Amino acid sequence: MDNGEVDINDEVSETLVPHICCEFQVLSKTDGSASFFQGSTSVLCGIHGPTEVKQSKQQNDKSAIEISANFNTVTHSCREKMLQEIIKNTAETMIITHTYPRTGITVSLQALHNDGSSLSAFINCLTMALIDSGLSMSFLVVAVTCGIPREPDKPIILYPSLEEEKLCVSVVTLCFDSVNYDVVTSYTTGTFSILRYEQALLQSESAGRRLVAIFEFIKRRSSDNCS
Amino acid sequence: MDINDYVNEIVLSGDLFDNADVKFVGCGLSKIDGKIQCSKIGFLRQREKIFFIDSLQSKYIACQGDVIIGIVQGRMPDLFRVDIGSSDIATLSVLSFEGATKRNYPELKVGDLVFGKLVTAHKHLEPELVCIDSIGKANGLGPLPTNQPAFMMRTSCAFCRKVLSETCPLLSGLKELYTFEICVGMNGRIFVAAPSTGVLLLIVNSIQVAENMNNHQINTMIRKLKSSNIKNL
Repeated sequence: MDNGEVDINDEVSETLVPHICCEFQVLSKTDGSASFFQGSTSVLCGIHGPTEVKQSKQQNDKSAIEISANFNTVTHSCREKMLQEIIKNTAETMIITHTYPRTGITVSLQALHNDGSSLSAFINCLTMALIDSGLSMSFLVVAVTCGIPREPDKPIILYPSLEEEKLCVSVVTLCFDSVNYDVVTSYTTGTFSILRYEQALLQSESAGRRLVAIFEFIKRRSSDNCS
Repeated sequence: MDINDYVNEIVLSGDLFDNADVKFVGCGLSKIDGKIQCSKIGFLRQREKIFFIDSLQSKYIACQGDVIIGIVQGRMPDLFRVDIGSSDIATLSVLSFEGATKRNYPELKVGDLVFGKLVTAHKHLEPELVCIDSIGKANGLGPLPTNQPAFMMRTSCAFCRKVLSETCPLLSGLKELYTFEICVGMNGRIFVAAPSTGVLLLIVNSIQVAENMNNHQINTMIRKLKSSNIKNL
């Protein structure tokens, strides 16, 4: 399509993202929840908010977002804390926090199964849960993981599995907004040349567009009976 | 995208519309650089010339003028603290009831239900409830009666708005079959009271399953209830 919109039935762009499965309102006591399956990686997210918070955590002009993410790793290190901060920064760009001053929005993420591309699965699940909760957002954020292989002539792998990630020299997670497809978040491990990074950016953007089309399709279908 | 094509359809946050001629936009929409951007997720509706988003948010955000059902959480010397389901606890002055004076006002206990109207609801202020209108009459507001079997259920806010709209056949269908009392709060709480427990359970179940039905399915449900002719409940 001319204006960058993706046709959900387009077969070429089907290969860009793995099999996506999403369910809304999986948790009954939360204000928004989603379970997200991205290939074999699956994540569960629950959102409470906006709720009352302690004076010490209150911010006068905006809502305090708190993320608690369980990556299901055997050892717990600072890396998990840093990933939580990255997810929190992504959520803060998405949610219009000025609408809910002196409140708190609590996000709980739990990895159900990790088969690679886990950070992007977490952020995509967070977006889905935010869609379910209906909070004020400026745009949606979609996350794509690229694996850059060791050999310079091999193509970039989109959404690598755990095995493929071990063979890659670098894993890049990119998040795009759904309006202009600008980069919101970029998290990389390993080393890569600038040319390879630019290739990853372009490929991720196409995958991101497809994901946004999928998210819209899922929400429209799930709300069919509500109108 | 043209905004007129998306009326009564789901729109997501970030959707941009190109109509520069629309002067007034309602809640959930904003005008940025001559384009209209959505900040909420829900159905795009149009009333005369104003577009707004019928949000599908389940958490209640206090809005001035809303009539809501609150649960009394505590008591202070001059006011009651009432939980309305939003992030802040609302206050209800002891004198905000019909005919109340400093010596004579309803003695509400913790856990009692109150049907009130929000007079102050701003994102920077604590919400305030009253149970009278501007001339001092209750007009249906006040503590909810406990003399009959009654039940309060929690639904989504969008469903409460749908139940109260003229196009929804649920209440108009149920009222022809059974006698009951119902209070719909805009904060996602519905209170039902009926002469017997059997009728009460039937009404409560009908309303709860209707949350995920469209109008056609609700009409079918009402027809089945009518033809099943359940008596002696």
